[in-house]
Formats: sequence, C-alpha cells, structure tokens
Amino acid sequence: MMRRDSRRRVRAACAGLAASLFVLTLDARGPVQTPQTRAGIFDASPRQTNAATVRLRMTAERAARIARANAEGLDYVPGEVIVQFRDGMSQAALARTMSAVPSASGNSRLRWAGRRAVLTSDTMADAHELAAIVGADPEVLYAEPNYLARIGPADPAGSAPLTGGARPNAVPNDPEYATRQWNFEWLQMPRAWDINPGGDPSVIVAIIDSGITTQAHTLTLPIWTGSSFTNPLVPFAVSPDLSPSRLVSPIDLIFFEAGGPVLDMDGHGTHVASTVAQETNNGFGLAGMAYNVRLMPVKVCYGYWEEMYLRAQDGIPGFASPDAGNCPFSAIAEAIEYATDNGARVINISLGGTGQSNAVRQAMQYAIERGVFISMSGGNRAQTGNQVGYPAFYGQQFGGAMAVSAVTRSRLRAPYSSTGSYIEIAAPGGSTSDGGAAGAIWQATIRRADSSTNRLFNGFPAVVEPRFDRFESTGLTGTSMAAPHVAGLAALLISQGITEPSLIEQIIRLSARDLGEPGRDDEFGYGLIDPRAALFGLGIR
Amino acid sequence: MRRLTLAVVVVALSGSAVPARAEQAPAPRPAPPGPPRVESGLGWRAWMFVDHVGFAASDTFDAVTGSAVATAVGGGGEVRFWKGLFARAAVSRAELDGTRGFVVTGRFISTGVPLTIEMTPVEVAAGWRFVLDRRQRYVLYGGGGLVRVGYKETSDFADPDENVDETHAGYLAFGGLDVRITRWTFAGVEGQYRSLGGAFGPDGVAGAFSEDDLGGSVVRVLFGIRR
Repeated sequence: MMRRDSRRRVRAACAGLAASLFVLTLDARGPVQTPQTRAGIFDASPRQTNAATVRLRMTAERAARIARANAEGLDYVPGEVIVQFRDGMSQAALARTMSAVPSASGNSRLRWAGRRAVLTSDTMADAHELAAIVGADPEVLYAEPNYLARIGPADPAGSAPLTGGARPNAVPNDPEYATRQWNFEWLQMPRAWDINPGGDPSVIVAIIDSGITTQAHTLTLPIWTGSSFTNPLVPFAVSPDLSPSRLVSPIDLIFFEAGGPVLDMDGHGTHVASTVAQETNNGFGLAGMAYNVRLMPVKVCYGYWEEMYLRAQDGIPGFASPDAGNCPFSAIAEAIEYATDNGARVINISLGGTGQSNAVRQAMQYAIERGVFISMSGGNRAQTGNQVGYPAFYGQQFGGAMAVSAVTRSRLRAPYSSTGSYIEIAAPGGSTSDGGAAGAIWQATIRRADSSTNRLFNGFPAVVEPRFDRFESTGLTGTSMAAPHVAGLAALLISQGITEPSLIEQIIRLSARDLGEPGRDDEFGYGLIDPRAALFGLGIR
Repeated sequence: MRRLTLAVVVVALSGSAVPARAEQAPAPRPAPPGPPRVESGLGWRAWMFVDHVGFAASDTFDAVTGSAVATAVGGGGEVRFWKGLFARAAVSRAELDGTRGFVVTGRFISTGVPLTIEMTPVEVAAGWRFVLDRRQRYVLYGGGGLVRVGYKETSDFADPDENVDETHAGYLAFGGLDVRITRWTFAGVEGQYRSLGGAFGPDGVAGAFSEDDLGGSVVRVLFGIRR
C-alpha cells in the first residue's frame, strides 16, 4: 500500500515536471540539428523558431474518455454533449441549464466551440441520456452527443523517397507524376490544366483533418519511453512540396489552443492537402490538382502521438493504443464555420463517423449559404456493415456539398467504399487489391517510419521518439483520398469563375462519366469526376 | 416590257371605244390602265445582302453568344425565265463568338472557354414576282426552296474531334419587296423563314434547352443590279 502511494507520488511528481516542460515551449535554441540526411529523404531545416508558450486545448482526461469510447466501440465522447442555445439566452437561463447537468458545477464545465457549447458531465457518461436531459431545457434548441469521426487508413500501401530532377517528355515535370499518379493521368489532368493551370491563388481550400504543419518547429515534448518519461526535442517541418506561403489562416481546434502551431502528427492531413494542391511543375515529387490555390489547415483530429504527449503530461506511463485518436464533431462543426468566416471557398472533410449531428449539418448550411463548396469522404465501411457515414450523408441535402465514393484504377468501386443513397460522385481512392501498392493514391506526407504506431513482435512500439520533419511519397487508399480530388476540381471551377456551390455541384455531376448502372446509383453516385470535361463545358451542338 | 405595256394600253383603249355617232357627246374619261401583273420577258438580278437572323434556338444562342440574333452577309442571283417565275441561289456567312458552358436548371453557366461558330447557309429557291405599278418600280415576290447550312463550332483547348464541322439541310420560305432605284439598280427588303429541325443533338447546350432547330427567321436587306 505504501509502495503504491509512493509510486503515485512519484507519478504525480513526474506529471508535474512533465507538465511544466509541456508548457510547450517553442524551442528558442535555434534550428534543430537534424540527424544525418538519408539518401532520398528530405530533411527540412526549420526557418525560424520563436520563443512562445502555447497552451493545450485537449486534456489527458478528455483523451482518456475518447480512448474509452474507442475501446468500448462508442461513437461519441462519453459525458459530452453539443448544445445549441436559443438566441438571446440570458446568463441566468444558462445557469439554469448548467444546473440540470449532472455534476456540472457551472461554466467551468461548459466550453464554447464556435457558435455552440460543449457541456461535460463527470458522472453521466451516456451522452444520449445527457443530451435528453439538457435538450429538455426550453432555452436549448438542441443537445446531441458529441459524436466522433475518424480519419482514414493509418498504414500506407507503400512509400518511397521523394525524388528530384526533371522527368523528360511529360507534363507536368514532377518526376513521380508519370510513375505514381495514375489517378491524375486517368482524370486527364494535363488537359484540364491546359484550360486552367492549377487554379487561382485567391481561392482558399480548407483541409479539415489532422493538420498540415505550417512552419518548422522544434518542440520539447514529454514522452514515455517504456521505462521513464523523457523530454526529447521533436522536430516538425513543412512539406518540401507545399510552399509555406500557400498555407493560410491555420488553426488547431483540438490539441493546441488558438495561437499555437498547427502540426500534423499523423500524415493524413498532409496527404489529403497534397492531393488538392501539392506543388506542381517544380521538378520535384508529385503533383496536385489545383496547385496554385492556397490551403487553410484546420486541425480537428488528434492521434496516437498527441495522446502519448497528453498522457506523459499527466504522468501516465505506458503506451496509447495504436489506433488512438479521433475527431469530435464539435471540432468539425467549429472548423467548418471557422473556415467559412476566414475566406475558404472550398472545404475538404476526409473523415466521418456514424452519428447524426445537427451541429455539423447546421455548420454545413452556414458554409454553403456563404458560398463555400464542401467535399466529403463517403466512408470506408462497405466491408464492415456499410453504416451510413456522417457528415457525408448531409451532402445530398444541400446543393453545394458532395459525398464522394472511391474507385480503383480499373474504374471499379473500391471494395471498402461505402454505398448508399447519399453517394453523389466518385473519384480515385485507390486500392491495393487492384494493382498492389501502385494502385494506391500517392502524395507527399510525413515519413511514416519516423512516427509509426506499429508494434514490434514483443509488443513494444516500433518508434518511441518520433520526428515529423521528413517527408516521402506515400500511397494511401480510402474515400479520404477520393474527396480531395473533388475539392481540387471545385477549386479549379471557382478559379474559372463558377463560384456558386450549387452550380459547382451541378457541373461536377453533369460532366461526370457515368459508371455502374446508367444514371445515378448508390456505388458511384453520378459517376466519376471528369475535371477536363467540367472545365471545358458544352458547345451548342 | 414596252411591248407588253403597249399591248395593255391598246387593249384598254379599244375597250373604251364608242360609236361614231356618239362622237358629238362629251367623251367620257378613259379608265386608267390596270397595272401589269408580271415583269416581262427574261431577266436576271444579282444582289448583295445583309441578314438579320433570329435563331429558332433562341435560348441556346442567347446563352452561348449573348444574343439570339446574328448578322450575316452574302450575295446571290436570280434568273427570271417565264413571266414572274424565277429561280435563285444565294450564299451567306455569319460568325459568332461565345463561350462554352453548362445549362443548370435552365440557366447557362459559362466555363469561360471561347467558342466560335461559323454558319454558311446556301439557298436554292424559286418564286414569283408581282409587279405593283405600271412603271414596274415596285415588285412583290415570294417563294420557297431548300437551304443547306454549313455549321462549324471551334473551341479553344478542343481536340480536333471535339470541334464540329457539319452540314444540315432544311427548307425555307420567303417573301419581299424590291424597289427599282435606277434603271439598273434596285434595293429590297425580304422576310425569310428557315427550318432545319434535328440539327442539334441532345448532348450540347441546345439539347439542354430542348432546342434542335438551326433555322429561324431572317430579315434581309438587299441591294443589287437587274436587267
């Protein structure tokens, strides 16, 4: 018992130490000394590291609740509800509402997420029950569980160093374009780029995802090594095939508080962003659909590494589950509205869950009414019950939002790609079942081996101290990869002067190449996108 | 022509002749001669013209080119070979600029890709002329015939097989008035209706507007020489 207590004290002391260190100091010691450069792997050098203190938005307690949801197969954050109050609600009414929440002691349990609040109960884990209690309040327009969405596959189908040097006899000149990007060749992107070369820089595409690192940083982050807590320097870098000048208005709505850096510790967000707008015709790496537009990184998902840091901050030893992390709908709704209010014209949402959310639907309506087109992954659940995916399901309810299914390089529906009445359009999502690793969608993202969450044969993590400053070509599959093709096409259409979201959707539909059953069907929607046909338009005849 | 006029006058005079006894009575005023109904003998005309074309596919052309009307210029000629009967042929050409696009719920959305349309109608027709006055200064005419329109659509960024180069045939009906200005020259105005149904398929902007007729109405102003 004594030993247990002393362990707790040590743990608490460690936690305090870790927490003090984890007042994440953007390292002021100058550029990080990157380890030796391996052949073909890009080692980014941080351009600047300003001394600054950033606070965390996510807490270990909340991460633990989400981890519990993952473990128990729940699709919501236990003990959390999203609340939309009626307009003009008084403080007194707010207090009344709060008093009805079990264990809620006041505004400290209420956090505003954009136009809505997230209410937390320590004692009532069942969010449906909690939502029913809160929703009964006449001052509350609606209350709903804070559902969870997930991003796509963690394991790459393949990876390779990014390569430089011009490739002869080809357009564009990115050397891996011809060898890996079957999807762009297949969509006749060079012919589309003849009409609109890469879109206009005035167009901003928001990537609501795991983030895109916008600036080189070196952070001192606490981490459990398997036997103790350490505080290694963790380097972050911007993708060498994404110009930092094209990354605008970044925000982290899940991990760091506003003002903190936006960092991708998963790679999914960077991969998705690269499909939309990876640098093109720069003689390096791969190409992107709308390579001149600007990107708005909006981080709403956290994963294994964020959870590891949170645990270390609280002095919790051990390793997180390899599939740790999630994307709460409260953050997604807030992200959609943030992107809208900050100039995005297109939003890509390559994530989804199974819970219906008024909050996300309302945010989508807000965005579309303000001229924003939304592309969403249709879901990867075809082989696991084919449950309806949200927010993809809402696409059919709006002219200006589309749910995207994935096709393979043989123009077949990818086996994982969800089907249903809400699927509106199809785009390449790739599949290793059709062409092996070459059948995946290849883009640049952080080098997976540097931050792998895989376990060794003895159960020990393959990587204990990660780094996020090296990039490589990575093949991923999923409707997550399909959606950014549609977002890129929308950005090109806006650059061409077609700006109304509903018109963009109609033109994408009208120009699509029908696949599957004639007309719209539940596998491919209206068919496979045809960017060249969409940009070219119809003549009289 | 003179002979015909003379004959008409002679007939008119003989018809109004009176017996010799009646010569003492005041002579009645002779009735004015009726106008000649047809131009006399063989003849020909050659003319140049400007057409103001109003397309039957008005929504389509309005959407793509910004106007449902166009201007064409051309020339033609006719031969009058028996009384008022004549045969004629004419060719004209119109060029229009527009942009490609899509029709979404009845609204044309331009993609901004430039499109040029060239139309070359060739008309072969026959008709009849009616002279309105003794001096044959005013002549009404009307007729009908065939029209064959060479239709080209070329777009920036198009592959050769995406451009359109085809011909469509239909019929036309026309009527007009020409006025002699000098002995050898005339001017006229003509109305024309052309029908070229089925010219446009279902896949283009015209199909989206459910319009398939390349014809329409034409107001033509002509100037030419005659003999």
